[in-house]
Amino acid sequence: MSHDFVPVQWNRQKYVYDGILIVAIMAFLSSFILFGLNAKVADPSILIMRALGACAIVLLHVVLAIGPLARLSDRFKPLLYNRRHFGVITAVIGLLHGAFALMWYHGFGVINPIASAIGGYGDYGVPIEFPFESLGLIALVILLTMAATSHDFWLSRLTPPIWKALHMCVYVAYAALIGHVALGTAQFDKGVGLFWALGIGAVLMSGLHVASMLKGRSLDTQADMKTDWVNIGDPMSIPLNKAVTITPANGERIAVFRHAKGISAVDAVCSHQNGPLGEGCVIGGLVTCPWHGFQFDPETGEAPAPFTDRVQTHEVRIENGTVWVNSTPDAFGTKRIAIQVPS
Amino acid sequence: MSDEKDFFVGYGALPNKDKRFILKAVPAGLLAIAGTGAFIGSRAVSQGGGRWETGTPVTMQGRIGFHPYPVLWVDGIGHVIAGIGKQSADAYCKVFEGQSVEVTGVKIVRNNCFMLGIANGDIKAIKTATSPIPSYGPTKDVSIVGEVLDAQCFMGIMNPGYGRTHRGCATQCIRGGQPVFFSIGFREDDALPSAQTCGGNGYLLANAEGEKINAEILNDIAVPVTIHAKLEKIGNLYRLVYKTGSMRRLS
Amino acid sequence: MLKIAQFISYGLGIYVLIGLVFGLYFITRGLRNEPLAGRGVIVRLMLLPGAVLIWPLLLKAKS
Repeated sequence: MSHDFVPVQWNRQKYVYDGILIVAIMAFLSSFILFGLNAKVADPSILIMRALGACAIVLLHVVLAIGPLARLSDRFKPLLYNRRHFGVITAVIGLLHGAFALMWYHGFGVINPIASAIGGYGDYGVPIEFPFESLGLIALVILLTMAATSHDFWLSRLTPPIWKALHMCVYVAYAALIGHVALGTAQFDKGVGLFWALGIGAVLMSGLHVASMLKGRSLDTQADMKTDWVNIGDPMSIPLNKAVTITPANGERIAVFRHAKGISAVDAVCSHQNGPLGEGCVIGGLVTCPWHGFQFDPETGEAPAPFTDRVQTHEVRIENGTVWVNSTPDAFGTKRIAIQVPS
Repeated sequence: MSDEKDFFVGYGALPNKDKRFILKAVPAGLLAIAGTGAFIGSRAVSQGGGRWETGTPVTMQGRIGFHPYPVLWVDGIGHVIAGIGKQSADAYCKVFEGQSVEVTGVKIVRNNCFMLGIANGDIKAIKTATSPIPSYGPTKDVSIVGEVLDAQCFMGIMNPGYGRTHRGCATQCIRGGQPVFFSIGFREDDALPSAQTCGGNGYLLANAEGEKINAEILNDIAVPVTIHAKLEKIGNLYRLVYKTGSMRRLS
Repeated sequence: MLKIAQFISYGLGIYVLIGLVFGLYFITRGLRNEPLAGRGVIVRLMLLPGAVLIWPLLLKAKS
């Protein structure tokens, strides 16, 4: 993983994933064009342009749904694993739509196409006069920046918090795209079908995100004591090879694992992409992140050689049949021997 | 240990539970996405039969008139001339005003009339005399409801070539000097009275002096408006001479 | 409004141009002290769009 950067770490699942994705895109575009041909549009180019735009927004809905779906059901984790390819392909489809539409409707004139699209007409103060192209442009710039910085190199180069913040802008892009399509439709199309579709999409997205947030909260045990030591309770309440995640009053979430060697605690936030390590599993003695399978030794927080990723460990004690965890993390690389559960 | 076997790791073997799920979910997902495409695609509204015959340029002989946009007159039938892209053909047509010429251009067709899209160099003077440019018929004052649009998009290039969604494009074309139409009918079902009335649903719009109106109306393009104007017929075309300050937005 | 739009569009153009110059430097010389040093051409080209788009962040991180 981060010991070395290669263009793409291909494996069989990624090939299959990308293959299915491309088939899905082709299915979308061809059925769009097939059913759109009935409408006798002036030029097939226009139909293709619209199909690409519609495809991009549908893909964005799906890619945004992956995170919450994967938290709600393990069955969706395979979707999450290669989500960045999904995102990059979405951005490329959006770029094709944007570039095509920009040149077609604003190119070859006396002022440059971007200026024409964002300020050539209309009035930003009035919804029905709003130059809706500008919202599409904002979304496109965000999606392209995300796609361009999706490689793990950028994650380590920018540091995870900045990278994550940059990639959270996807929600800004989503809102801008909803505005782009809604305004473009409202300004012209009398048919309400697309409005309904957009609305249903937005409700689904918010519903999924709220549901996943609630589930995330219910997985976490809130520790309200202000002391450093947090009570986890009965060690056997932690499922074998799984973790209980707690949120201390001060500091980051902690994942407390029960595995073959005993009880260990590490940061619940994966050092790779801030994945939910506490929802991971111990496989072959290593804590494995549910997102991209990054692995860490539960006793040292370090990835097995040659990988260099690491998370912080936490001190664990068992007193009178109760597990206690120190909410202050150890220095990176501190080894904490797993505490055996008294039988 | 069943948990461990069921735990998905991207680079590992696919757990059986996931395999079973994927075998069902992938076809369902593909079907859903194709259905969504079909649904959105089918929402497209017919914009009539306008088309841009880029592949098959035509060569025609006639006379160049300005009304106030360039028009090729062929035996009393006027074909409005647009430049390539979003810039007018005025500069290279002006030198041939009133002369007999041969023009090679792209037909921009709507219903049973068409205009021509030409580039610099597509027009040359010829010795053969062609029929004269018709003269203006009687005029009448009208109040009329419609939209200010660029002629070539309305006629056949864009879908839609009218309405607010098309404002940006129409404004860019008119800013570039392309012929300005005042359009009163948009769809194919707004039937045209006869083959001779190409201007019937697209009037050439001139300012009070009968000159190009482009720069004066950039803020009122592609929105429903009402105007007062003097209507003049010339050949098969109509020209509206706009009464300055009479334009009112309808929405 | 058109004036502002033109200003923004030229601004975007200049931003991308600077990004391109910086990006080319970044993927050729700039990676010397990175874990990526000595890596292949394809990886470097893959990083170019990112460098073009977020060059101010990279400049800031360097200094």
